[in-house]
Amino acid sequence: MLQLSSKPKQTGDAALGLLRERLNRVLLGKRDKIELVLACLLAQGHLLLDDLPGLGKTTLAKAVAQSFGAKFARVQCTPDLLPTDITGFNLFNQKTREFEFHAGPVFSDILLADEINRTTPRTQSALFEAMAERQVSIDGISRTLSSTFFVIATQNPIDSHGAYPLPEAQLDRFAMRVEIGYPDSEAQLAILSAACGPTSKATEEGTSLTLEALAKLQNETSQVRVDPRIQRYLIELCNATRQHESIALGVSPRGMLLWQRVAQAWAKLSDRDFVIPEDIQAVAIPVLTVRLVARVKNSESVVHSILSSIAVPKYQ
Amino acid sequence: MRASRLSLDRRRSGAIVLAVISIAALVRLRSTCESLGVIAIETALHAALVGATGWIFAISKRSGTRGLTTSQRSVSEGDRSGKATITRNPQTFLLIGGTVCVLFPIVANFLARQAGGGTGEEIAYLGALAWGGLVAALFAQLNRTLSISVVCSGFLTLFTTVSSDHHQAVYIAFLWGMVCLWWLIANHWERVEACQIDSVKSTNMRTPLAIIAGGLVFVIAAWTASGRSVMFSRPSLELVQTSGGSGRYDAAARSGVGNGDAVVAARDHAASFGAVDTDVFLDSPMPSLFDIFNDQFGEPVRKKKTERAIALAPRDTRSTSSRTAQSNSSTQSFTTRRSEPKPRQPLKDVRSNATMFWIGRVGERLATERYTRFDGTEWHQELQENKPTFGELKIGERVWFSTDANSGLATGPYADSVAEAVKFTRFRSNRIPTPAGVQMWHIDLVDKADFFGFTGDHCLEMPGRDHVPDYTTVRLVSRLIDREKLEALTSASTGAAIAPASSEPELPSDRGVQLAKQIAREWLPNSSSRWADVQLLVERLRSEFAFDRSGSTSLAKASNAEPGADPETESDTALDEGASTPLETFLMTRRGNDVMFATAAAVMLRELGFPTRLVTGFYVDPNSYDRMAGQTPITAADAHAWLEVNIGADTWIPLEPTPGYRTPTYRTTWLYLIKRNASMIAGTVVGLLSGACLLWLSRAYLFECLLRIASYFPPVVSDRRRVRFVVGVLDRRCRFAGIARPRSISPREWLLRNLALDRTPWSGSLNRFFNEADQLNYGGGGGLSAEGRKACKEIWREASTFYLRRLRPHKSTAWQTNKTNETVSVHATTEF
Repeated sequence: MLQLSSKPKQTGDAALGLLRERLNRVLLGKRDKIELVLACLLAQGHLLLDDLPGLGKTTLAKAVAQSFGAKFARVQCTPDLLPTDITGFNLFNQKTREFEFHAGPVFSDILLADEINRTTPRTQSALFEAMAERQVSIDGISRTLSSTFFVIATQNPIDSHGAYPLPEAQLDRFAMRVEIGYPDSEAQLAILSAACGPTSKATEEGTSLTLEALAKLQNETSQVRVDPRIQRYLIELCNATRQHESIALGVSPRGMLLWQRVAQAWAKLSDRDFVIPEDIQAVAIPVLTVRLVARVKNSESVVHSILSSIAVPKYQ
Repeated sequence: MRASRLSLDRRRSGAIVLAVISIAALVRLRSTCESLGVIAIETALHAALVGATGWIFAISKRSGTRGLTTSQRSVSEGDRSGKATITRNPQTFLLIGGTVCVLFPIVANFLARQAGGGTGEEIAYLGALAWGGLVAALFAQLNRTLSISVVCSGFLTLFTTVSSDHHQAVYIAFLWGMVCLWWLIANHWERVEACQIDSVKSTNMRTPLAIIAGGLVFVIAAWTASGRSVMFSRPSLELVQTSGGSGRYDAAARSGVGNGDAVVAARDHAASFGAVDTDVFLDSPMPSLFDIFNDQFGEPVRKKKTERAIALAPRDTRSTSSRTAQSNSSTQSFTTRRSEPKPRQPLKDVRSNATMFWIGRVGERLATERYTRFDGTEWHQELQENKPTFGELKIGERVWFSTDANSGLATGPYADSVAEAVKFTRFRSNRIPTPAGVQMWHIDLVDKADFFGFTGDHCLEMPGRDHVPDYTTVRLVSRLIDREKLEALTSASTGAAIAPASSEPELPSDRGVQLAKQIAREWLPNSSSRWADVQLLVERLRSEFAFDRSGSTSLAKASNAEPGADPETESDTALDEGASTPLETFLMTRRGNDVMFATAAAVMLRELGFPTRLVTGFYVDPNSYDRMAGQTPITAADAHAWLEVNIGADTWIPLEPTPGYRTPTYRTTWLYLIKRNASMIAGTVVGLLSGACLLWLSRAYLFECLLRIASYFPPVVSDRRRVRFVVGVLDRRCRFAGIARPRSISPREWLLRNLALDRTPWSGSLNRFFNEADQLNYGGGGGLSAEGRKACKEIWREASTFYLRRLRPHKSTAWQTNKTNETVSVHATTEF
């Protein structure tokens, strides 16, 4: 049936290809996940990495940030983290006798929020405002964030003791949830042999893609053609999530919009300027698992059953 | 607007049911005088026409308006181009389709009448009304249209009920009434309840005026229709066919207007077969079976020739004289004014060269003479002393005459009876032609047994007369021969009963007879005197000998046809110089008339041990059957000869040895037919089933063959159709190969990934095809490139069912591993 490993063609924009190669060098053996991350990037969505520690979440996020030469910030979420630790704060300068704004980590292009479910809901919501509105309000002053502001949040599914699970409304702000998973044997072998070499500079120099180029790509993504029949297919799928018996809360219109945009990005990554049903299906699991409130634990199988219940549009 | 549309749809169903009931009533009415097959075909055609109208209407509606109402649409379309309005406007289609539906019965009937078939015009008008009602109900867009439909179906139902003779007709009217009542209550009850007596007010004067005007129209129409108005006393225009009222005669005219004023005798029996069953010709100078015993009205009409007649009471006659006007006014005297005599329309004779008319089975043989002795050239009657006897039987008010219960009819191979009738017009014999197995007969008011009798050769006659009086209708009931009983009676066990009777006349031993006997022995060397042998012999005669009507037509002529004496038989004699009798000539040349056939068969069957006799009479030719009248005219040309064979128990069974004439029909039960043809039926069923199985099993091969053939004739179609076709073919092939594509997986995904066709040498074509197909479908159009078309063809040829079949095991394993992987990974994530 649906396979996430269905790789889009690796041609595409030259710069995009460079970026893809670079990420693949950093995170070995995870091409399919990297495609999803790229799709999320093109769709201007935020990414939730949901996996065990030590699988390369942070490595991936850092590599993405460095690829653009973008400003990268990282927040390690702990229970005592305060909203101002994320947004920034005004400090009274004794010398100048004026308040000075100290920008928080959100004033960056790429923000890595590690273990986001460890911090308090108050802090979480501060971050979510930034994610949704791309602006923060501090002491009544709204401050706009970078236009390519991109959040990669990670959370640890085990060890839920003392954690604050993200509420559904907030999960809806993420475009997708990706589980990186263990690399296969060959990739592990490559990882091990890479580590045995002489200690070199871990990071690669230079950028693959400028922020301006990224913005242009994002703009192009939003213009990828979606046929009305594809849209109807998408609507049917969304309706099915709302009526499915093992789903408590179906896809919201916002979720639907994001799904379409991610499918557009997927088409763009496949070097197409139109969306086909396979694009919708390919991104269904990462897009849906983040926002469906399933009554059963295994929400992926629910997504599978929904996908298999709706007929793809016929060629006309 | 919305509410009224809803209620319209709710009411529509009721109106459709009513219209369908009325159509059923019309079909029932027609089924009494038309063949059901024709009605069924016509109804099916008509239903198809209505269906097509609905379909076109639905399509045009769907393709036309979207969001706009029809009128708005047509206006805006009209601004752009007139053509678009016409092609897109559903109302136009509806109007055209509806008109065609309504006019169809009239046009079809007109054409059918031109071709010699058809029915009365009034039926066509009723048909137009019925289908008009249905169309109005189906496509009504106003409540008023629905009401019109209900009125149409109501009128039709009432009309057919009233004009029908059948009791069951009234049940259809009841049904219609019940449905209509339900429909009315469902639609109008709320309104009725809302109208309290005190709230009803006359708002204007128009209603009473309308009532008065309507009443006037009704009265005038009734006056005109009742024939009291001078203007319309004589119909000048014939809207529906009459049988002579306007001077014209039409075969399609039903019971109703007769041949003018005088011939309305069929007053108790609307579907009377004869012009008269009783007394109309009392004032005719021709001899009649009936006479009036009446001394009140002066001299009766003097007949030119009188015969025995039954005296009728005066109440059985009808007064045809007109009443004289009287005046009892103050003048105290009789008026001298007399009513003017009614202008009597001169009656026209309806000419026909038929000697009689037969209502009953066609292909029947009516016997008038029977011959038992054959002297080599001629047949002779041997009048027997033991004539059949008969008795009287009173059924209803009529007297029937019936043969004795202990005659062969009771013990013979008979089952069921059939009622038939014969009307004599110019028959010049006192014998009544009857079919074999006649059991009962009756002539209207004749209640005297000595009016009938049997001749020495067992034929029914009216003794002491020159001929049966003209326009006499004889009704007959005859028994049907049952094939099963016939075969049981002549089976081997009772075969001894058919041994030649002692009274069997001896055959002469001339050469013709000897030859016939020889042929019979050749054909049936070991005959066992069974029915099958009789059938076999007759069949051989029918198939190996040729019928030649131009040969000598009468028995007398046949007997005179001496060789050399008649120049007409030169050819016969040329063939065989030594032929001495016509029978021998017939047997040598294998050509002859029906008398020769019957003679040969009779002689041969006697050789086999069956008593036989030659019968002459009339053959009811199926070709001259008048479908409109439901009767068959019998002319002198229908004179015929055949033979009867005695199978014992005083039972004579007619046989038809002459080719070109229908063999006598025997009544057979379904069970018997099935038993007889069990092996054939079983063979056919098994053959059909195995054929169907074979087709089913080889459906993939057939499909591939068709495709392979079709691939040499590439269709010139649009690219979209081409893509659709190829995808459809691939889907069908997958289904044949047992790896049907689930609907939720796109073709590309299924073929390339799930079936792993991306490893094939032509996967490039597959990829290209799907890329271009996607571009065409979802990428905003374009078309297939030359390579794309080539890819189409390549897929068409390469991805055959057989190729896909080889993938089946592969597919299942790949599929399984995929699934397991998935579930394992899911499991892992959820378990933590």
